[in-house]
Amino acid sequence: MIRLTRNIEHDLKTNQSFAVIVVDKNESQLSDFEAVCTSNNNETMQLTTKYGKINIQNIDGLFSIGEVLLIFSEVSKCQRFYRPEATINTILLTEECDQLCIMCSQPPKNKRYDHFDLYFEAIKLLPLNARLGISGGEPTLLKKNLFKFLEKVYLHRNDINFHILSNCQHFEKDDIKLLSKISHKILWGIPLYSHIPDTHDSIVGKKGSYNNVLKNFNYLVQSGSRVELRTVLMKQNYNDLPQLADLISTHLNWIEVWAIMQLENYGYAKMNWDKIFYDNSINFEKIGFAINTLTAKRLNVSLYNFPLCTVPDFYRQFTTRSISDWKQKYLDDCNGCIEKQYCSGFFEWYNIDKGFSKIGLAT
Amino acid sequence: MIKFFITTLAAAGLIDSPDDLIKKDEDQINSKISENAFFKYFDYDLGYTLAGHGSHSSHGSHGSHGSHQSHSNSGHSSHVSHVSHQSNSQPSIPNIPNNNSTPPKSILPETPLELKGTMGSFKILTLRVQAVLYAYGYYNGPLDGIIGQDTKIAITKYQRAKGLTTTGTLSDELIKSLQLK
Repeated sequence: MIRLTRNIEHDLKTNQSFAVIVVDKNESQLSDFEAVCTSNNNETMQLTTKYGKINIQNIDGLFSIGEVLLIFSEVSKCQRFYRPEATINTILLTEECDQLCIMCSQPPKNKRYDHFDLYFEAIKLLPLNARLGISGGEPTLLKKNLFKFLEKVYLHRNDINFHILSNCQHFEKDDIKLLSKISHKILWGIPLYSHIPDTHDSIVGKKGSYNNVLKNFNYLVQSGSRVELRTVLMKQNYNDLPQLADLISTHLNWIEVWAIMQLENYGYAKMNWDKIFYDNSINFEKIGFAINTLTAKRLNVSLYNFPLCTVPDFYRQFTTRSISDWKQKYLDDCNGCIEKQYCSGFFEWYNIDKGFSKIGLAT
Repeated sequence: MIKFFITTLAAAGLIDSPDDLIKKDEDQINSKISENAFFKYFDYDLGYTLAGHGSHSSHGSHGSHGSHQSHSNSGHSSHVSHVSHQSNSQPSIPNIPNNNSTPPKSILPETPLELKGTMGSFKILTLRVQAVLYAYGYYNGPLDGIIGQDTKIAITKYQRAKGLTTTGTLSDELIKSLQLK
């Protein structure tokens, strides 16, 4: 596991938070937004910026060239905003949420990290065509500022792509205009757990959620927005998958991809694990049926967080390496597996005793 | 409502030649496409590819936009209520072949169309053939990607009706006739 936020010691001449990009340069030639990264031994790392020096203890490894860091000098923290080697870099915008999903891996808290100006400064330092995730909590609770931010980024850096996870509860008709303008730069990850309103509502812990999602899809489709529909697989909705696939292939066939996702055993999911975990290594039938339906109708479907060995042969082509590199791991059993480089692996906090009953080497 | 079904089927590639249905309005439509981002999503080409999965990004020429116009304002939500119109009388044929138990070859029933190496794309093509035959009313079994008895009968019936060589299996002629290529 890679820790993304670190405590720092510093002698900075500023109280402001700022963003820097790690470069390979002579220290005397640094500009305001550049930093040089050096290390004396394996324990500590030193960053030299225009404002002074920063020390970071217990490092996992040197920051790579091109990495963008946020320095919060007042609270002595450093956040790894953009790592070039990561599969995706994500901004956690807020931990507030208006839904209370039974498998939430990150239960809501009253905390916001809406440093939009700082994020904007950092985005200016990103490489061309960079991709950024925005997550929460529920990002659209800060819709007004978020949309302003997205528009501003679009004006200055229209090469940046966003992947935003949202519960699709807060879009309005008035948003269509702005959404159309930036729609091709944003992929909305939106959850839908069942074709039955009550099942969906009980999973997300909010009455009327299903109807809101379906209603708000109108605004998304009218603005030409791109949607990745996400369904977390659970005991509660396993049996609904074939009918959900029918709903998607007949009425939501404009989506880009349907992602069927395995659980991340953290937060509420860990708490409710025995009640919700569906072991697809024992029976894959209905998932397979759902995939068949979408594939037959030429729609994209993807399996996220499914280790390859838990999926029957034919369906392995639909899996992706979806787990972010900083919380991904492989088990001891995985050593020597020839499919390892194609496999999503497991979450850092995966518990073998309560997990899949059939895992093993692919041969 | 009829318009809706035509376009839905067309978008999914399930009817004969939506081109003909739409050509009339094409000039009128073309002028509107650029104005309304909504239409982007109906800008499908109808050709399936063998590789299939992931071929979405290559959006093709025409679209089924015209008849969708009525649809865009009345909204999706009104359609959601008739989700259950597809019958759920599901599978008599087991959906997924069990890969874990491999009995000796002599006991295995013969699967005539198993092509080693291209199994994945072959099954995907089979799925799409089943979906189209289902839409035409020749096939009423599950979408399982397996050429079983029902699928063979459906293919034969279709081939007879269209005057193709009757093989009961996937032939180039069949794929072309179903506009899957």
